[in-house]
Amino acid sequence: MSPVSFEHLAKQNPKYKRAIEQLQAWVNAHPQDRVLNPLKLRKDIRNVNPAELTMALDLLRKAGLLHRVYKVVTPAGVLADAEFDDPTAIPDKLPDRFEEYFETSDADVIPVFRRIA
Amino acid sequence: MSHQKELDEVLSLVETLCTAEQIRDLLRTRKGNENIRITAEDKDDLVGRNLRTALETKAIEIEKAFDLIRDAEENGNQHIFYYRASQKLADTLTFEHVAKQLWGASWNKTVAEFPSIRLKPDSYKISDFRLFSTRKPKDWILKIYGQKTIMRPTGKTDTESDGSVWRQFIPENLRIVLSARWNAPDLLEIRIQRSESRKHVEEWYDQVWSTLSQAVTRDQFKPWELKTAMRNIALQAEENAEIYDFRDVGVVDDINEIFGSFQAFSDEGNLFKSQLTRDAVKGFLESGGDLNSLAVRWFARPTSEPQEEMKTLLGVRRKLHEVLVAGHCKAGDLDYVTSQLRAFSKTKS
Repeated sequence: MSPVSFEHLAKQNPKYKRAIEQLQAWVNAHPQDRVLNPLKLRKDIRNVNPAELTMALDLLRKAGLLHRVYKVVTPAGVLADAEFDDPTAIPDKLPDRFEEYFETSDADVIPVFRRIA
Repeated sequence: MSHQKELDEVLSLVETLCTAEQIRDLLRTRKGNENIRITAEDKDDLVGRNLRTALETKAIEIEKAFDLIRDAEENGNQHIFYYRASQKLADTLTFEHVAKQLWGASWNKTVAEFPSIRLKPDSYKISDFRLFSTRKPKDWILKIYGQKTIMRPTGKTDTESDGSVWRQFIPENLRIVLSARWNAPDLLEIRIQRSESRKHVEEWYDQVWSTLSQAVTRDQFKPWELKTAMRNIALQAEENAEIYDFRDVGVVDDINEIFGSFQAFSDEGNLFKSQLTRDAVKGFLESGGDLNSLAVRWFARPTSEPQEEMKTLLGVRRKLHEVLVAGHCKAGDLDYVTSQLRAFSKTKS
């Protein structure tokens, strides 16, 4: 996979240039990861303010480079396979990683970003 | 296919089961024919006008539409239960022999009527029996359609003054697709569509065996357990990093009845990215432990199968001969996985 470039977006948004560049470096270092989890990014990119990172992700989303989706956390504390554009579309039950179905009403839902570029 | 109603049903199934791109690909095969139109405003028009015209005028043979349906509903998004036949039994399981057992001497006439796409309300019926692939001429598939009315909760409730609560359920017609696929030289695959209800999966599994019972019975086969395959896949992951990775394992110490699991947090994670986990799983296996579940992702390959990435769960609910194939896939891609499982069952780590 060819390296991703967010350079144009960084130039257009000097206030978030550093955060965008760090995101670009993260994406290029993780070519297999098609989903960006803001919580993981905050852990991995420690030299950028979390608020700036959030804004940078939103800029990438608005530029059409990322798509926001919602994932459900299974009772074991990992992400279920299914993903949803709209959190209200999450069904009552979902399979966990070992095909055991669980009630989603008590489960945590987290927004993540799917890479389009 | 002379009846209008049957054509309507074929089109309805194509619209439900196939993507617009798959339908366009089919139409493109006869591009240039005056009755072929590929562009459409939406999927309704693509099926209701373009594909209908192509089929009515025979610009495209109805068999091609059946192939599209078969590809969409027979492979993937299902549980596969693997069974192994003895050499003696395997030798008898030819297409003709099974057909004769199921339909008697006039089996040819019955088989010629397939595929049948109509459902029988609240019942099951054989909808297809055919040779599976030209690449493997001894393979066959028997397909069963079922229809069941289920009561689905809508989530709406109504609380009465005395505190009692009414929950609303609405009837819904569930379309069920089941199959038995003979994968020569020695494997029988019982394929059951995925469901959130394990009770349904088990009921449908029994239904397939019941349908087959005139030809073969379950006790003639041995469950083909994937214990060795899972162990080898896990232990040989590093040297096969171009072929697959895995993100979840269920571990078991049978003697002491201890179960555990390792799961990567991300659904796209790879367990062996972690040296700590790699050492733990290897150490557990090398000390006599086993795996009872393994979520394997088989990578797409540019020039051969699998054409698309495949996600499989080997070992489901401690059933070591059961595999879950997460999404729809191509027939050849699913066969690729079975071939890999065969290979990993033979090798020793």
